Amino acid sequence: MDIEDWKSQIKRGTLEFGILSMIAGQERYGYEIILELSKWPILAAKESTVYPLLRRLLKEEYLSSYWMETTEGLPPRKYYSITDKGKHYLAAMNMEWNNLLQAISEIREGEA
Amino acid sequence: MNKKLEDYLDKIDHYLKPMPASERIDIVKEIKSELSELELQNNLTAEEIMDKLGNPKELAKAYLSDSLSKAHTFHWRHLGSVIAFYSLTGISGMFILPVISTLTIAFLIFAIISPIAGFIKLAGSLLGFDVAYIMFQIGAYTASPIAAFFLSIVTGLLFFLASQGLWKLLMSYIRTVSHIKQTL
Repeated sequence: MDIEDWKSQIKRGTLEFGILSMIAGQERYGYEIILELSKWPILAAKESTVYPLLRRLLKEEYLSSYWMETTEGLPPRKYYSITDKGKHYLAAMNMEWNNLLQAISEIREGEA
Repeated sequence: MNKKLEDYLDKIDHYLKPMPASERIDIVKEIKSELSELELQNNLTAEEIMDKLGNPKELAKAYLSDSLSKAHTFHWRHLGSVIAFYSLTGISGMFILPVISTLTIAFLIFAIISPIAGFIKLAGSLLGFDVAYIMFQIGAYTASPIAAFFLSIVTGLLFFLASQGLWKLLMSYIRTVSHIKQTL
């Protein structure tokens, strides 16, 4: 496995976490999320990844959605917000993420 | 909206056919919203936009198989579990599904026929003739027409409940299989 494979594995594991964290902070619509993610090359993802993922999170009831009219003459946008179930899921992910960082940190210290 | 983008959306809608209509409409509506924003706010050309979103068939497939499309890198373990899954569901699918669904239908038919038969027997006896070929019999016990009628309703009910139970079994089997498939 090379570094590109590893990066895409990392992305696949953390994209859901990143997106839920983003939406928990502020309700967003799909394209907004894609733009936001593009700030970080390691997380940047295309429509074909993000939209189906959002749809799945919606089906699993971690997110809820609503259509909102825009004022600029653009068509309505589908906004996503986090549900209580989603908040619990996110809290669990946060905990596991900290465990992971802790473990890696200790391993690296051991190496020093 | 540019005609090319309308065609693009039509293609996506076409490739999403396996999905229920309400979901398809919602998906296309969401993509259309982004296309319009890219066109009107970001001032991208239709070609640039279609390039960004990619092949419409691939995009539709991404929606259709969300979990399977995540496996872009090849792992032997993944192949192993996929083979195991399809072998199990293939074998069970060849036997379990046909047997249970046939039984479900059969029980439902029995549930309907049973009280009808009991009614015919009872009606016959009330009208003065014995419907000999319809009888309720367990071992040496043969029920009188009136008893038979009530018993036929009971058996009809039992068959109906059995068919409902089998149906629930079938549905939970399918759900379990789909859930496992999603986690592959």
